[in-house]
Amino acid sequence: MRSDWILVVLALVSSGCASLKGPAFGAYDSFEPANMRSYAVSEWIDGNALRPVARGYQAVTWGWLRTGVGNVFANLREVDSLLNGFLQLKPERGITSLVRILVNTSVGLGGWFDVATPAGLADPEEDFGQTLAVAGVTRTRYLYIPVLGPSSARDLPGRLFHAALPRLLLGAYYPWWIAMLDGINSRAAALTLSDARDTLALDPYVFTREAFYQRRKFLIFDGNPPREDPFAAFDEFDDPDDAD
Amino acid sequence: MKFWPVPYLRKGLLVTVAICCAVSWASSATREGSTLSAADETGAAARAVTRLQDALLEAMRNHGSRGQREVFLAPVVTAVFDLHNIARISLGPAWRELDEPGRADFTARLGILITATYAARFEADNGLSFQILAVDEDPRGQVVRTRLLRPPDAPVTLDYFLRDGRIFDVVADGVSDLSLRRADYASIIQSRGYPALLEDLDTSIMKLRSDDEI
Repeated sequence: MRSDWILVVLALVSSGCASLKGPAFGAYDSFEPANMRSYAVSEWIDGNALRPVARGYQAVTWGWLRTGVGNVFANLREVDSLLNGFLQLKPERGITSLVRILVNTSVGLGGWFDVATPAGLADPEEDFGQTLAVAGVTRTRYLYIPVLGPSSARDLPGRLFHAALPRLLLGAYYPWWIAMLDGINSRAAALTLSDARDTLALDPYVFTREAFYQRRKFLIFDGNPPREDPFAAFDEFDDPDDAD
Repeated sequence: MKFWPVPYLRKGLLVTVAICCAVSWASSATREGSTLSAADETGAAARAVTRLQDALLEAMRNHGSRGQREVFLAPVVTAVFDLHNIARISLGPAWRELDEPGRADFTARLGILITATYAARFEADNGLSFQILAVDEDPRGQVVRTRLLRPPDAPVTLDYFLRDGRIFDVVADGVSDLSLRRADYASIIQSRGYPALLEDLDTSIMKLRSDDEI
């Protein structure tokens, strides 16, 4: 069973990243028509179910409660960061996650309080998609997954693992209603971001895709992407006809 | 448990000292002749970002309505942002098709949009504050690296890219405002044409100005 899963992951990653020519970490939307349909379905579900429920949840709960619930699940999912820190041969990031888990679970009362971040131990935010990127998978096809949101062939297996981690760790102690609470709390936490996107983006599909690829590159390089000429793609920037 | 506090405290102390040195060095730089030296430019970059961030905090604290904040922020945005180049790069090839009045019109709309966005997003003073971390040289100018602190949520890294002392891009947690704008606008122009882009920009401005949209 486990080997089947490994094969599925390998097949997905290799088929989704094969034969891509172009800049590393660029946006490759080969399945745009299907992705746009998936995006439309997701927006419909979000607008008619997830977002109203998240708004209701936000209206009837205190901020400290939502933060605490979010911290508990983030603490469980930090195991992902721990494993992938070591897989990427970055032991300092793996150790940081390990210390964060130990501190937040003990001093932070089961992860309710994130005491590690104010102490200077920021979440390294590693995941399996980043591990694959570090291993050389720098080009990947865009996938918009219904409800889950933007992802890619390289990032999807890690994304699913990340989502499933509480269930894998807690088993029967993570029943469906706790999973629902986890999902609703996560959606409520993202309301500000999605509202901002809806107001600022003229083409939300393109906006989301571009933001996804940029954010992934930022994380892959641990918040310090290579210092490139920010206008390398903007060849008209120094056009003397247009200069001030 | 010996591991975690000491290296991080030491690292934090070093970063603090480095920032203090960079800021004091930048602020003590003086103009010599008509050409800006690297030190002048670094100082000008830090001053521009500080002016914007101070204005945002001031707008949140002392200007109650979005309209008031927009009026207060408009001259600051015009002064610290390189709106001409932001407009040019955002539009890409479509910029070349515009005549001078068309370019001026688009640039003005972009300035209004940026101002309205800040007036809408920086609404309530929930203990927000900014930290300047470093001012780095960049092939095109300078990068002012800052953090937006918003406890209890995690800080947001905000990198401001400047040329000739004016901001042309803001990168939030790795996501470039200019790149997003360029992709977003290109998509609208390609699918529905430039007039539709102008209509959409006006709609965005109206949404940002209405109280119940965000």
